[in-house]
Amino acid sequence: MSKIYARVTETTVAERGTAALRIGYGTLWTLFLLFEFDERLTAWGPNAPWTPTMERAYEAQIPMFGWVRAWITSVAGLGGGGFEAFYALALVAGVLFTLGWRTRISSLLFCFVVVALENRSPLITDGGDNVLMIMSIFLCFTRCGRHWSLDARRLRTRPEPEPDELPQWRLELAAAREQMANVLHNGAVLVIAFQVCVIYATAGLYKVQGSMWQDGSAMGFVLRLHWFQPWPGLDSWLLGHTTLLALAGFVTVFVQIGFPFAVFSPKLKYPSLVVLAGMHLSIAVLLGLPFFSLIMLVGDAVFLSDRVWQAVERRVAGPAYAENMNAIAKPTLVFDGDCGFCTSSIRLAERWCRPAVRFVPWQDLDLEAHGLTYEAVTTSVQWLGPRSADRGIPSGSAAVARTLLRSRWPFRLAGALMLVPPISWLARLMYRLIANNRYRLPGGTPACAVAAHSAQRGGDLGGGPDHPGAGPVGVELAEGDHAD
Amino acid sequence: MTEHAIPRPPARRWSRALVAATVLVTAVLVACQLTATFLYNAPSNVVSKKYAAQVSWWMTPLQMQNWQLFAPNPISENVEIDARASVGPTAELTPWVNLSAIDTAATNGNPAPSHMTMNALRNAWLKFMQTHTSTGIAEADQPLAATAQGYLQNLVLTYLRPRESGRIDSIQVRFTTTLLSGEGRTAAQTAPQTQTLPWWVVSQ
Repeated sequence: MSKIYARVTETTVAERGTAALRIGYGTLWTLFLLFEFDERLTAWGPNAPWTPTMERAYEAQIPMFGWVRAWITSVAGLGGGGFEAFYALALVAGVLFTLGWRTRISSLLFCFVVVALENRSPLITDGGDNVLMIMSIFLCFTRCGRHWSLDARRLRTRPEPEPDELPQWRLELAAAREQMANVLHNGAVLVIAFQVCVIYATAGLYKVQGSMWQDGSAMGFVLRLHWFQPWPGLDSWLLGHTTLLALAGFVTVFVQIGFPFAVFSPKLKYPSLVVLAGMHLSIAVLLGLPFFSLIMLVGDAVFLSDRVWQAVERRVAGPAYAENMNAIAKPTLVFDGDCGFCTSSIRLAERWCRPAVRFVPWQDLDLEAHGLTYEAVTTSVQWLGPRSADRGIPSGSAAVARTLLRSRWPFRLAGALMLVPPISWLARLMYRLIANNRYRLPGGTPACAVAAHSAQRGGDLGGGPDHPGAGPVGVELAEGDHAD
Repeated sequence: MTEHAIPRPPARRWSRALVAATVLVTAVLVACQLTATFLYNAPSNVVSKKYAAQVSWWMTPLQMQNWQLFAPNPISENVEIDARASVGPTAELTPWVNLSAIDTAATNGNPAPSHMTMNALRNAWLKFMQTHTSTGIAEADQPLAATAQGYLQNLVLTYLRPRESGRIDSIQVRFTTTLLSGEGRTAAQTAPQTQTLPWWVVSQ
């Protein structure tokens, strides 16, 4: 229970996924408004065929709170100039939301304009508008601006004031706020994911009851509808391939129904997402509904794990960025730089085990900033990794084991074994024995005897005594961040 | 980035209580949301009937949704919407104008047709059919019948006005429905069926 509580309050799921949703929906909304620009007055203007009076009569049929009614009929109350101003505001909101400028505020603004405009003329909307409206509400509760946003850039370049400049209660409030934001984000992500599953499952389960989807003729009918026919030539070519159409129909129905279950298995999830993407793109082209299908497609992004998004991040940003990321993301083993034996052991390890770990002498570190004490670093090596903060800093043999775990075979196996009792107890005993006698053991030049070397090490880390400005960020920063 | 540095957890009693309250409230809201979404979209059943009022309170109007996309069966008929007008002081009758063909021409070869082109006529026709009898008379139990008719009339006028220089006094609309050919459908069934609505006077 407490584990779940910690996960919900201290970590966030799909931060990059929600950022992708933000960028996707924001971009599509902006493009949609630009595409509709010439027809904006016919679609939503004060003299549109769907008049403000009709709009109010339509909404009067539905019971709702007064403030909701005021919200969704707000555009109906605007005159000519007011409407143009609102349209401009809607465009600006789309751009700001896409860019992630003060995301909490711009997400509220985005939600406001989307819901207000989409409800002005409910009879010209389709499923895409429906999804966009619902998702714009849900996204207000997420931390969708933590990556790939102006917010992320601003926070990176302009760090918050030093902790000791602020009163205690404000620090405490900031800490509580951080966790409350995480909780809301996690809840909203669950709601978004559930909503996407409901869409696919409903679409699939209702289809499976239809005789035309059962006998494979459904697609043959859809492609002959004049309502949705931007490329009649392509349609008639496809209509010649009845087997292909029947198969496509079956695959669509199967994948839609299976989607809520497939998301729990990576082996099924990714192929399903590929099939659905294919389906959406076909709808976009064949039925002339690009916004409808792309909005649906963007919703799937929440199911791509942060690891996948990080790979995309590296691909998009290029190799230099990837290298930089790898360097930062490496965990760190803190050792005693005055100890020749330790230094040569590490050189040996680097040559033979090739661990994806950085080795830093404690003499180069701002100990306090990394949650270390003089006591700790002089008794045993310390491990600064992804989750050191909430689980305590592994040290000694546990730290060595983690280093081996990140090495090549067969050292990796040795590392794994060293973490399992009773071998771990033996390892701890051995480590104590060696560590206590380390100055008597043979070894080369201690790391800290070479000044240039240590200076370079410190610079690498971005923390340490050479960089007092870095404050408590230091190594931990390694894991979370990288906002663009 | 500072925000992403592992933040210090709240330590005081009041701040921890704040977080715990957020967890509780969020959990309850999420549970309600998931349940309501499910019941709203599921086929009508004993549970959704029992809690219909609560589910509707939660979902309408901001989360109204319908995902029966081309389901259970896709539409399998083409509808052509025509209109003609009585123009000017002499009440001159215009020929029938095929409004659907105007939309089709705007859609053809267009990768991103507008919402007005793609959805307006279709939904206006659907709404009209939902609220009127087959002869175009408003159903008594449909409070939105007048709205549906007024909308269809306004929409038709947006097509006719640019094509007609004179003053349009009244209009007439007809729907020609053609069932698409398919297995088990006879020639008689797939013959076009025309439904001509009464004349509507256009208020100037």
